[in-house]
Amino acid sequence: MANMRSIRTRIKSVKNTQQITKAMKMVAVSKLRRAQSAMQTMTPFAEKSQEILDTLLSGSTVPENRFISPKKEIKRVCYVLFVGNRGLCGVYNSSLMHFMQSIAEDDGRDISLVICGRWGKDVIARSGLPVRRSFTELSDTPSSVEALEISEYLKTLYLNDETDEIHLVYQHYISALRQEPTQTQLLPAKPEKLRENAAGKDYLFAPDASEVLESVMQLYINNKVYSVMLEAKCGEHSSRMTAMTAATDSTKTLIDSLSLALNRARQAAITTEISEIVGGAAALKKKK
Amino acid sequence: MAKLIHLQIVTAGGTVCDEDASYVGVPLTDGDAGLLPGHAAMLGALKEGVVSYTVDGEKHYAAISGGVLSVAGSELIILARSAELAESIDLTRAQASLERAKQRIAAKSENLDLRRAELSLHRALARIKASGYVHK
Repeated sequence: MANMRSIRTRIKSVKNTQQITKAMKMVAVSKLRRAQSAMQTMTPFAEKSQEILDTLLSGSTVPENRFISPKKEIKRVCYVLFVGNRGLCGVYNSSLMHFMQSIAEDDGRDISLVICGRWGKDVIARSGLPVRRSFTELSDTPSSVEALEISEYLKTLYLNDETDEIHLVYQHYISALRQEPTQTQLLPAKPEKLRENAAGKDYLFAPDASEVLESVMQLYINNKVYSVMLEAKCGEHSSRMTAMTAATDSTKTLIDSLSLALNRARQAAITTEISEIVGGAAALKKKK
Repeated sequence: MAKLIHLQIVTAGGTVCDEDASYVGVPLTDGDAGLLPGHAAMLGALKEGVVSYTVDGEKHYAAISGGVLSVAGSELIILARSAELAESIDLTRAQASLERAKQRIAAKSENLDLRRAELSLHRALARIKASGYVHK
């Protein structure tokens, strides 16, 4: 009988866990949806700024810009690592961390890190990577204002010559089921010209091309940080969603096997009881 | 009907304004400028300030904090770091951030980023100015 009771308690506790994982899955789904819609609202802005950049770069003379021209000597490199806000999302954080560590090992230069996200303070501390600053107050569905704070900080870092190159390290969002650790260079920027814009030469510039380029580059960098941030968040939520779906499924299997064990135990108890009664009755009959 | 300019103010957080205007005033880095329909193709750098535009004879205002402007044909696109329509500006918040910026500049602390403090001062001023046009 004690066995039956312990199985019942076990089933109850697994059911509680199941409720939690289910709830976490739902939360991840809704956050993923919000991050994805933020990505969509950003698209027109990204497209338009690319158009303007195309126009500028198609011009006969492309002006110099402090964000584009590389520095003479690249000695110090800064990596911006976009981790999640918490765990329970499969290998999302740890695979990114491995990726970061292998970059750090291969890079012979003087490196420093900027961490965006709340996850893994102790893991990062143990890894011995030099952290310059952590942004831990990022929300799960970041707004452009939050991204601005980071991009302004990175720009100042770069312009004050505290670092010669800035790279973003994050989980590239391929699909809801697949993310891949990726590294991309933020500064000095390498803006790509997507389309040749022949009209480039006919534009008036106010006040001049180099100042317009400066403004566009400011937006371009903010935009890149924001889009990487959203992409990382989409990845975090979708991998948490996957992890929680798997967890919910395994609780189901566990509950099934536990109920089977419970039924068996109950049946065994009944059988014992019956055989005891039958045995008792037979004993009484003999006495008569 | 007179020709109109299709004005769009776009930020990373979404499109703030999408209207057909008969006049648009913008804060270029070298001074304010007014744009009328039929303007030549132009790219311009914008500082933080107030964009004003006239739709159906009615004036509207929006505070922007730096960005670029592109005119091509009858399309006028303003890409801004951030933008707010005058109607939706929270005046008390703007005033609070103005005070904060002023204090930061006045305190002249050791690791003060003067450029950033001044920028936020200008941003706050632009928002107060824009909201002043509608709340009188």
